[in-house]
Amino acid sequence: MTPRGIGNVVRKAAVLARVAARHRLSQRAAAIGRAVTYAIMLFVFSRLWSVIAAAYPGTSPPADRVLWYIAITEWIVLSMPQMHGDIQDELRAGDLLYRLTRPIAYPWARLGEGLGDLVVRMGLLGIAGFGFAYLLTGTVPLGARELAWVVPLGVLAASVGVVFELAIGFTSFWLHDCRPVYWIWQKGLFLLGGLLVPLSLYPEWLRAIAVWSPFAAILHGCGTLALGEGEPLLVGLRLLAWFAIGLGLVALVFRRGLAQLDGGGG
Amino acid sequence: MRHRWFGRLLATNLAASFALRTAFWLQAALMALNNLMFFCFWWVLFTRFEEIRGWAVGDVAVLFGVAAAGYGATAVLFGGMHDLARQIDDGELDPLLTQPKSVLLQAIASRTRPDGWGDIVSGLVLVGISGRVDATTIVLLPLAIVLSATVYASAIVALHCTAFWFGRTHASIRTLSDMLLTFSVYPPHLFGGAMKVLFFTIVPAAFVSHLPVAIVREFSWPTLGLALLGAVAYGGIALFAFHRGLRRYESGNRFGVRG
Repeated sequence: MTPRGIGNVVRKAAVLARVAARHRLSQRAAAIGRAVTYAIMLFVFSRLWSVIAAAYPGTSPPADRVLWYIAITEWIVLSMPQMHGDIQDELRAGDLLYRLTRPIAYPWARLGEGLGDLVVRMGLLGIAGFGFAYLLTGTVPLGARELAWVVPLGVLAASVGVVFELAIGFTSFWLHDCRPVYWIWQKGLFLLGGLLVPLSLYPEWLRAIAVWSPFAAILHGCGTLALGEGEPLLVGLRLLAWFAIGLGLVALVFRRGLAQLDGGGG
Repeated sequence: MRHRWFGRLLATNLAASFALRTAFWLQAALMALNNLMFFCFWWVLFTRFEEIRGWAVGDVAVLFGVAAAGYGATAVLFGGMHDLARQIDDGELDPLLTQPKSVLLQAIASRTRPDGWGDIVSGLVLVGISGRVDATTIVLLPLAIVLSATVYASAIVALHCTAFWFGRTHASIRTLSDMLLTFSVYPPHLFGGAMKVLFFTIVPAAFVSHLPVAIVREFSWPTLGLALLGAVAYGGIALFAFHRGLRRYESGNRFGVRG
């Protein structure tokens, strides 16, 4: 694709992103539900880590930093829209055929919608998460530099997640139900991403596997800013690399899937 | 008579879910894997910290195992319960009202979820490897799972019954259900007095997992009595809420065919 062609796709995807963002803003009940879930998770883990800190004084990283780490990783995970189900429904119902005639390729249209949705979720949950984490710890362990980096890196990390969500949705071309693939992805984020425990606390062999996965780049990378360990530029570069790999994967899976799609009637 | 009908309904549901054999095994196996991976969180934590307020990795395995098996049993037996509010709100109880069987049982038990089997198996595996099971506790384990499943199903049904009065309450129901599950898989010793009041009332995590697990870990008659009382009370609340709500139910006025 030429640079001009790419520019056109980006412009069209941005329009779809704006529409999706406006739609998301109108769904207040769901946003409140997610914020409550976020608050409960942070509350549970604040209790867990304060109990650990009391029983094992001098634990590193300190409990307040771990809670901020979890606030960041949960912020990224809870903000990611679950698009695989919608994609699966469109494929099964045959609606994809109608969307193929639109002036933007289906994967990029979906990506635009997903990113628009994501930005609104991240904005709302980011404010809520900052407030909850501050209330529970009474401190903000991130310096000005880390605070300035955490938002763009968090958005980039969640965008990588959205791209992989698309690829998972497109496995519906072959699978009756793509949810099992999503569950594996979700648990990969949970375990290898270090959603609830920083990777620095993992056994050495598991940490060595985790750091090479996209999961660690998405969650642990940003989370380390709260632990005072992360190098923002390096985190950003790794995320960009996974974003590019993810886009390539989406294009490949979609092309292969489309090639074996049978459309009938309508 | 009623349990024969329920047995046949269950058998039909199972046959239907076995019909898509690959999907069935895939969903069950991946749910089991899902749970075991979630449990890795505790395993990682306990490799660093040997004990947390008297709880070791084996104790948490029993807690998670009983909660997962109880949840799985409700998914297999009452797969439609998470959809009850939508059925009420969309007027989908109409065809059930004309049947000579329990409307509630038809609404929640006419569907089964294959992933529930994964929850049951992984729950039993976790209890099995916990090192907390001996000849006595293994007898108490089925009872603990039944109590857990009864309270969980009753709490979910009672929550969904709010749709009779308030209409579309799906988002709040989802949040409260998630809250119940979340608090059920963490040791109760992490939380203080005010939270414990919550666990015995609005978010009955104490009856879903904390007390059933206490029966297995350190059996005592008062604990068993309290757990049984909780199961009976929550079962009663669910039945009362559904039957009171049904009086307010408004028909969907829709024509359809029920397969």
